[in-house]
Amino acid sequence: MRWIRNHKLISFLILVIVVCSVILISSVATMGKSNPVSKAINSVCMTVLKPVNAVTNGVGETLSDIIHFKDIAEENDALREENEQLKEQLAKATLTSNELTELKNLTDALNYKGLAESGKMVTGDIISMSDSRWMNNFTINIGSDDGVKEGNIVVSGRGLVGTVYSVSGSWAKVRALVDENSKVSFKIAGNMQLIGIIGSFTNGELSGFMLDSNAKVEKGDTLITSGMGVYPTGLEIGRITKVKYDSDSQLQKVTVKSTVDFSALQKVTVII
Amino acid sequence: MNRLGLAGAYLIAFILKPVMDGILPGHAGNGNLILCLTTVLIFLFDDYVPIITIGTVFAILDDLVYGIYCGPEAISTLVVCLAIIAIKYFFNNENYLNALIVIAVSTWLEYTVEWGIYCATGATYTYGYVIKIILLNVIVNTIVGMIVYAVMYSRIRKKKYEKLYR
Repeated sequence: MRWIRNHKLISFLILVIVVCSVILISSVATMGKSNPVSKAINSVCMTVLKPVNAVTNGVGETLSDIIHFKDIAEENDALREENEQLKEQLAKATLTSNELTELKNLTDALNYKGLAESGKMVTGDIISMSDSRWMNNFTINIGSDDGVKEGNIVVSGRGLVGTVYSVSGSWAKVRALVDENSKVSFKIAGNMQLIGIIGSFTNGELSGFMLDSNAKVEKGDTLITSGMGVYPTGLEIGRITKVKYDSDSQLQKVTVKSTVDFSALQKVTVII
Repeated sequence: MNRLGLAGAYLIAFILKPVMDGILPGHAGNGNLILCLTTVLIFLFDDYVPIITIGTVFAILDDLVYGIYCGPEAISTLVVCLAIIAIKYFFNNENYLNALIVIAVSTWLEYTVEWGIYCATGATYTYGYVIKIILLNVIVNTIVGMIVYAVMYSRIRKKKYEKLYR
């Protein structure tokens, strides 16, 4: 006790370090999932931060529009062109009413639940981004009140974003796919017979391998989820940046860059 | 030091974070106001206990709201505080160049410790990749920190001057 009285600053620092370490260890042990206390604190913080965020997001978007005016005009032209092409494709791909009825009968007979039936979607805004700038986790302004649950899949217009790992009434925390250590089964868009598994994540890039070592894949190929495992089928994962045959494991390994630009994300959709 | 004022300053820094994130889209280069405030206050003042207490509480809040785990930012802020207390024995704190070096080094140290903690918890980012990303943060934080330092230092000088010639 006398030592503590004589070394107040050191004792205080040791106490703070111990408290912080205990908090960190318990947080890591629960995989970052919120407990009732942290949920309550988080909810209070979100109540304060939400209106601030709503105002500043509007200002930020306007500023960004002004700064990137030329880019937006070019993007607009490109989108118009793409829209025309998509309209043509849509016209070709539209099912006749007979074909549609046949397919509906088939799904009923097989009791098939695709993404459209098994997953309702709810869209929200990103209200805060990670403080660790190299990681890509963020908080969204929709939560269990909107039907969001832990483990729900999060997507954006560009593709698969990640999963919800913590949720409360009006907010949910999302961990990006590139920061998770989970395996994702994929198919190559355009050739659905080429299947592979993404198994490791380094520096924001995904790497995996093709199940068929003779599979013909090349740089630029688009990867989509195969539907095996937790991810529904057809979600865009990313594009192949490198293909290499590993003679030791006799596997064709691929490195993939996510199609989602995490630094520019503002809205995401949760499949609930 | 007025503790209520100190808590108020941290609260403003905490609320201003989404403002900076919203106004400067693309979160890679936004400043960490809580870190800037802690660095400058520890460097300028000798009353460490309230600064470390309130700074750590707000770092934990920051972790709760923005982080995956609760604690990495709080621990890295503590390490930064200890480093600055040690540095103060060798550096004159009433000097803009010294302040600039301390703020830049503090930012680098904060993110390096944070990266170490995340690596220990299973993150797969190499230090080479992280250093490229935090370089911009070091620059932004140094600019923001120098503004905070200039404001605080001018107030201290004014108070000293008033005490001397009262």
